[in-house]
Amino acid sequence: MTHSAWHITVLGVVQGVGYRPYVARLAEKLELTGWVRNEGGIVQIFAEGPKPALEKLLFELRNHPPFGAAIDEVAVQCASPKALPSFTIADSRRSDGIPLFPPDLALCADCRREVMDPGDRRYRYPFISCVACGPRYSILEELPYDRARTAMSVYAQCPECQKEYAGGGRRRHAQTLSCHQCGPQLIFETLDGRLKGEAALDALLKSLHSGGVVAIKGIGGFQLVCSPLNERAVKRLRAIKGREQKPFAVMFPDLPSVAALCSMSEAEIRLIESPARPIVLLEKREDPFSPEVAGGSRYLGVFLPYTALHLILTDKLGPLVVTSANPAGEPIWTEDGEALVYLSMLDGVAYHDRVILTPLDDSVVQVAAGAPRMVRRSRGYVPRPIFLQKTFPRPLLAMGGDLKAGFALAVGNRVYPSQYLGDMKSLNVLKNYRGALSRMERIFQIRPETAVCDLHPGYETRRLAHQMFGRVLEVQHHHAHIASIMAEYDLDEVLGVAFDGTGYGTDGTIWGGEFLLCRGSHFEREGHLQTIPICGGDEAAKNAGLALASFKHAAGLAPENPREELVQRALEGGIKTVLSSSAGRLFDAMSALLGVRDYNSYEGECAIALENLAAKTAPQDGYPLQIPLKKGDAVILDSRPLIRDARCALDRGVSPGALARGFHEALAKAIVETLIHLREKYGIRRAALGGGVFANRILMERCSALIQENGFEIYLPRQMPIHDGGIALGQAYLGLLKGMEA
Amino acid sequence: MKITLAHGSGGETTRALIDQLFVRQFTNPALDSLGDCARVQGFKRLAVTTDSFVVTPLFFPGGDIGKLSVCGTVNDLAMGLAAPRYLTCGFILEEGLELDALERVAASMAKTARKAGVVVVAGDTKVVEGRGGLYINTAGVGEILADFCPMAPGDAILLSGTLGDHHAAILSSRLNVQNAIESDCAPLHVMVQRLVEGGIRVKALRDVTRGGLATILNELAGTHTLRIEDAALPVSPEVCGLSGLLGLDPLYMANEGKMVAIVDGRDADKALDLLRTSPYGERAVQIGRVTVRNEAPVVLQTALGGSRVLGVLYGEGLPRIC
Ligand SMILES: [Fe+3]
Ligand SMILES: [Mg+2]
Ligand SMILES: [Zn+2]
Ligand SMILES: [Zn+2]
Repeated sequence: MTHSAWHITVLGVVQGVGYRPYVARLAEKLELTGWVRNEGGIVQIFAEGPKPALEKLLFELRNHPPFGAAIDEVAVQCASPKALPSFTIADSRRSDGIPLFPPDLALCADCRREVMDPGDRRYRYPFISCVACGPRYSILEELPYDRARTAMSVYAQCPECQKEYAGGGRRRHAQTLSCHQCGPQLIFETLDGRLKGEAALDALLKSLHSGGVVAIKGIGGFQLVCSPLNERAVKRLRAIKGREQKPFAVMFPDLPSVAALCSMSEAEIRLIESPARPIVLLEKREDPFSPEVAGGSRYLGVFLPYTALHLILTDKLGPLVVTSANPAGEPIWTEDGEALVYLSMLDGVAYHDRVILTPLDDSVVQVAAGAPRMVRRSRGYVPRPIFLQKTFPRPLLAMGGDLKAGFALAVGNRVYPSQYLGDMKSLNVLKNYRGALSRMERIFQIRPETAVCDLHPGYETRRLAHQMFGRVLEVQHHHAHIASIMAEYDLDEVLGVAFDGTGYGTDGTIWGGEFLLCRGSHFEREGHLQTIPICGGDEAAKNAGLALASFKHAAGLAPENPREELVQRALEGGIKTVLSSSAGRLFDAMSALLGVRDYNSYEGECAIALENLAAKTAPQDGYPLQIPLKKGDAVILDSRPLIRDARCALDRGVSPGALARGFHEALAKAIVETLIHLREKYGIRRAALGGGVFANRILMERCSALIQENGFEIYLPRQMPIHDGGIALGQAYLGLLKGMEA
Repeated sequence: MKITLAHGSGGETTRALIDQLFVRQFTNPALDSLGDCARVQGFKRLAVTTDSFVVTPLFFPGGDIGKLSVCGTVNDLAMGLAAPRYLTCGFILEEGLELDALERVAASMAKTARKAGVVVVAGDTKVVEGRGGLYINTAGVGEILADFCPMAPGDAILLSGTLGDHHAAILSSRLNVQNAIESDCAPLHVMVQRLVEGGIRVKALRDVTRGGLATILNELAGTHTLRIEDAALPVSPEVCGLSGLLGLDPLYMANEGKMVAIVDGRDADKALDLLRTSPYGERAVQIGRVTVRNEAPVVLQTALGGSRVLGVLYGEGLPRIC
């Protein structure tokens, strides 16, 4: 039989998932010799042996990658045989290629089995991991990925672990490998003292079992944990976070326990079980928990254990409230000291001495309009890049927005989005932003030469961009929303619908209900919601009463209380007043008008309450409302008659539910009519929906259904959030297009 | 009687207006000579400033444009560690202005000037077409009393009283809201003088006017970070109520009688005592500290333990939140 040699290059997420050991195992099984080497995140394989065996190797590499790996390309070149005696794992080497590195990986099925097996030497070991699972990006110091360059470097392996590392099993070359004897140990600290190891685990279980609220050090930061059935505990947890209303996510021991409360589609199950283990927003069927958890919400944020510690806790205690530990608006705690400061308010802090190098919140995903939609892209996804069909001539930094801050580093054909960072008004978020940026730049060796940022004169990200770079491209907020979708689908031309709360317009007014004709790097504002004066600045985004008073004034409705009267006079005097076409404020105003909710204690609260109410009314029972179009140079969607009609209908006794449903329907119809008009004008039949308002599932699903019924191709973001967390990708893409045109 | 274009003709009517209104109100030897310029006593080191005043309405609770125009310039001099000495004033009157209103403004200016220890030594009047408006420019000369010491980490940031009063008063009268809010319009030179006499090592002074506390702190920060505490900021309940209704932030609202003094940390208590026993400084408090430069020039410590970057005012009411 002929003896051949192949040189194989594998591109994709191949570091930290046990890829080299996997290749070695395959090769040995096929009786091939050669070597596998990691060159800065690109795997190089030299294999020699009979041709059929080589072909089988290639087939396996392409079709059965190990858990956690994501293969983009397997390239083959013929080489001359060297008659090597065995197959070896060669040392890592630096290279100029741009590396890919895996995100943190959830506990795999094998480790899960071991940790629950009393006969296993890692029984109840909270930090169990193997080549296929465990922390990765959160503990990575530098590439290439070796134990010495991670937060594991301080733990010297015991002889047994060393044997496993050198051996042929699942832990061959597992960089995070450790055990009870040699790895990080659990510490449980209360005001009474400090326990370690097994005793700590027992005390932690006991505390949670008796209704305690504890902070637990997870993968990307501390989490606050308590029983969802204990109202007092959940209330205390809310007080610590300073979060009045926002629903909490619940971690379940396993899929069947989730299925008992929520309905799940195939796609939702796949998401819940994926190695990223995100929080998935599921429609509730039943809610046995304290109303303090997520009482008012149609959805429950659900996730499965992604560390052994989570597994042990939920296995013993059942579902647990698990939420990031931080006061609302502040970044997640990553240092033991930060959590211990709160010890007197808690029943204990469970931690360990392994350092968290990158703060990462739990990611949030929902399935809407038939596909998974990113709500918060963080642990389990970062630092995975988004691949474009085009190539950046020079590395570039996209600053993202200010409210759900997150930057993106672009190089080659890739955009690396950072994790969700929070509101840049917080000094600690600003610090984390800089920290995350310099870490990502260092790890991936990306040196951006220019920056792209938002136009808004008040954005910290814009200030920062100008501080760091001589050359800065400023792009319009809603243009970036649509460009983010263009980047994902490689669109050159699209009719973009960007509906959100606030973005700074090119005319100095506040935009937020926009129809943009996007061609290449350019856009035209082809339509928008009626521009009206809105009083109150940032407060109007919280206090829906201010938005309502402003809409009433615009609609020519008389004020109905002293406060509305005052606001109307302020509007007439132009005091703290801006001109705005915001869709977010229209939702707020409707919510307040219908008496649903009139204050946003967290972002979108009023709109979510309005959506929940609409969901309780069948579509056909919606009260017919209308948003007339004025087709001039730009199409104006006039929201004023809608406000007047809704106010009248309320007087005539129409139910708020019927009006809430009718409002969603009217808006969806007006959006589609506008698109049809623009298609007639420009012949473009592709439509993209972006902006935080489309996080509203009723609006998104009604719009996409109507848009498709009317013969459009519709594009919705998948890999990036639809809200401001997604604009960094759009900014990067516009930077690329502008650069190509220049 | 109303102002007409004849009052600005330079002839008999003009002369009568100056003699019977301005000279009568501001009477002093330098002005009364009515020469082309005032010839006055000099000092070794001078501070000079000018400011123009445009405000609607002309009269508001706690003050009027006249009082404002004197205090504004007096305070600008005081903020340069100078004792105000001379003032000049230029009036631009719009046709149709009530003579009576002008008289009241002039009287208010004269009264405020006497209180502030400045002499109005020269003036000018012009009349333009319009709708009865009134604009004033004042220029001031002061005598420098002391020099600033260089700012350093550990210095204390003091505020002489409640925030937002002037802004809220003007808004209330523009919106026709009945409330007890009055402008805090006042001269601050005595406070400054006492700090100097008390041997306080003053690092920086600024009156809290347009743009509010947040904006002026950003201007003062230089290469340092100014950390202030939310809980320490004094705001009167009335101002708090009104600003809450309209979404205004007292940190960005104007005062006309408040100042920020950055003093050596070791002098903080003494400086506070001096401020509190001075006119218009009863509610003086320490609001924060100077620290080494952090992430931002100005940082606000919130009650919940968070810290927030405090930027400059970037446009009245321009929202950021999505
Ligand atoms: Fe947005
Ligand atoms: Mg001034
Ligand atoms: Zn595993
Ligand atoms: Zn071990």
